[in-house]
This record gives sequence, structure tokens and C-alpha cells, in this order.
Amino acid sequence: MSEQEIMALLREAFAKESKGNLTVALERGRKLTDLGFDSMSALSVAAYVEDRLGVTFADAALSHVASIGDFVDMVQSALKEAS
Amino acid sequence: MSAPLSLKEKTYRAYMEFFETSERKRRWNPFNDVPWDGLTRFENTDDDAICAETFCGVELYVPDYTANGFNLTRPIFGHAWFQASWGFEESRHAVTFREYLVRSGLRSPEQYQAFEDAILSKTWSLPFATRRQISCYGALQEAATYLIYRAQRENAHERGHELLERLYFFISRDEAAHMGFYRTVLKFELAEDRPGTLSDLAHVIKYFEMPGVKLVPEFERRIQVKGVALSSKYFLEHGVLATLKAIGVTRVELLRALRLDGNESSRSDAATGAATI
Repeated sequence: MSEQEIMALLREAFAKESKGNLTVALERGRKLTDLGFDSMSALSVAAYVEDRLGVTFADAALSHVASIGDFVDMVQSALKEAS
Repeated sequence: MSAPLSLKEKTYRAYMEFFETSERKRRWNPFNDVPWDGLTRFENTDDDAICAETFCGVELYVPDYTANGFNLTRPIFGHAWFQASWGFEESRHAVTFREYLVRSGLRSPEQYQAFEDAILSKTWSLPFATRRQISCYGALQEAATYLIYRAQRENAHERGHELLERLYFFISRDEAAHMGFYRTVLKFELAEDRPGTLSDLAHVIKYFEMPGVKLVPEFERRIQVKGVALSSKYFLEHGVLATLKAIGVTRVELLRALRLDGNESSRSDAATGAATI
């Protein structure tokens, strides 16, 4: 799965979590807190992505996600492990 | 407020196990078991003082914690008697922190007394309304406290501060036992009413706050000192997610309950708004 595809999925997940109120572009360097998301929101987004991709993120990895880039890296890592 | 017989019986057994273990393996004496004689051999810093004083401040609300706790837990013998044991053990922590602050010279007896007076000028109120919600709160709050004290013990070990290492060993061990009891109680609650318990857990996680935040003077300044508090990331992984794992709740279940709780809050807010128009 390409990084663009992962980003598109994350956009979908964050848009759902924000109930359609996501107005800021998702970029690698963007911090979750700058987007108005807290750690519980990140869990919710992670659950959406896990469900869509059939992967499971480790709790340790999840709790260290602070930016969109961290999220992308975590997804790539999980996909690599699952393959 | 009654409770199902099965919950009462299970909690009674859990309390007796907790009590027997604490009597056989965990009783310690703050005056004899902490090596006070060697205290001045070690470097006792301002940061040590701020940490110990902050922790002491939180522990000093034991009369409020236990009074409120007894009101909720009285119908369940095992839980009410755990509250009594817990209160005693937490009071021992406060006494030990006080001894450290004054014996080390980091605080004079007058400074300590002024701090204690400031603490006791406020009262702690229940952050949540039901016994089950307070059990959820207790599981998370004791996890956080255990993690904080464990980190203090590790730090003391690295510095070669044998006294603080010993002090935080005893105190963190108590907190681990408290955390364990609350987790056990939550497992019982999940067996009795899984949807209701998940709903309460989600609600508590959403609004969770450590007791010191509103009660300890200058709390915002204190948490700038390393070790006074946990980062939210660390608490998420080692507090919240670890608790979920321990009690057999998945992240998906919690998130579903959180979403429902969010809807309930919105409905409640809307109802309130309508009532005030």
C-alpha cells in the first residue's frame, strides 16, 4: 500500500472522527493536537484503520503516535508485519 | 444501594485475599523499615522535596477519600473493608512523606505545617457518582500513582539514593496491590453487567483527572518537575491500555462505549439547554 493510499485512508478516518469538520490538510509533519485530536481520538482513528486493513497496532506503538507521520509509519509497519 | 449476591461474595473473597496478602507480605513500618539514620548521606534535592510534598498533599485527603468511599461501598462488605485497609495504607504514605520532608531538612516543621493547613483547607469531592464508576476511577488512579512511584524508585536507584529507593519501593508496592484489587472488582462488574460497566469505564476515562490537579497548591508549577506526573502518552499506554488488557476489555469495545457516552453527553447538554431557554 503506498503512502498516498495510507494518507487517503487516514483522511477518511480523521474526517469520520471529526464528524465531517476536518478542514485542515493532513501532512506528515502535522501534530494530532494541532488538528484538535487527543489520544482517545487517535485510538478511534486507529480502530477505523485496523478494521479497514485487517491489522492490529501494538499498544506501545499507538501511544507514541503524535503526528500524521507517526500514524503513517505505524500503518506501514503493521502492514509489513502482516505480509 | 444494594448489590447482587454474587458480586458481594466475590468481592468478599477478593478482599480477604488482599487483606491476607497485605498482612503476611506487605506490612511495613515507616519508622523502622525506612533507613532514616543514613538520610543526610544522600543528596536530597529541591526536586525530591517538590515530588514528596506533592505526593504527600494528595495522600492527605485520605479522610475525604475514605468518607466518600464508605458511603458508596457500604452495601458490599469486601469493598467497604478494602476501603478501610486502603485508607490506612494511604495514610501511612502521607506520614512517610512527611517524615522524609522534615527529617531531610528540605522542609522545616513550620513549612510542612503551613502546607498541610493549605491542603486541609479544601475538601475532595467524588468525581463520579456511583460505586462502579469510582471503581473504574480507582483502577486508573491507582495505576497512575503506581507508575509515578515506580519511576521515582527507579530514579532513586540510578542515583544511589538508598533511602528514597526503599521508601518508594514500599509505597509503590502498596499502590500496585490497590490497583490489583480495583482491577479484580472491575472484572466482577463486567461479569455482572458488561454493557453498563463498559459505559461507566468509557465515561470515567473521558473525564479522568488525577485528584491533585484541583487540590494541591501550585499544581501547575509542580508538574514542571520531572517525576511529579506522567505524560499523557505514558499514561495511555501503561495506565489506560494496560488496564483494559488486565480486565479483558478490547480497545474496540471501549471506543464503542466512548461513542455512546459522547452521544449521551450531547443529549444531556441539549436537554439542559432546552430547559434553560
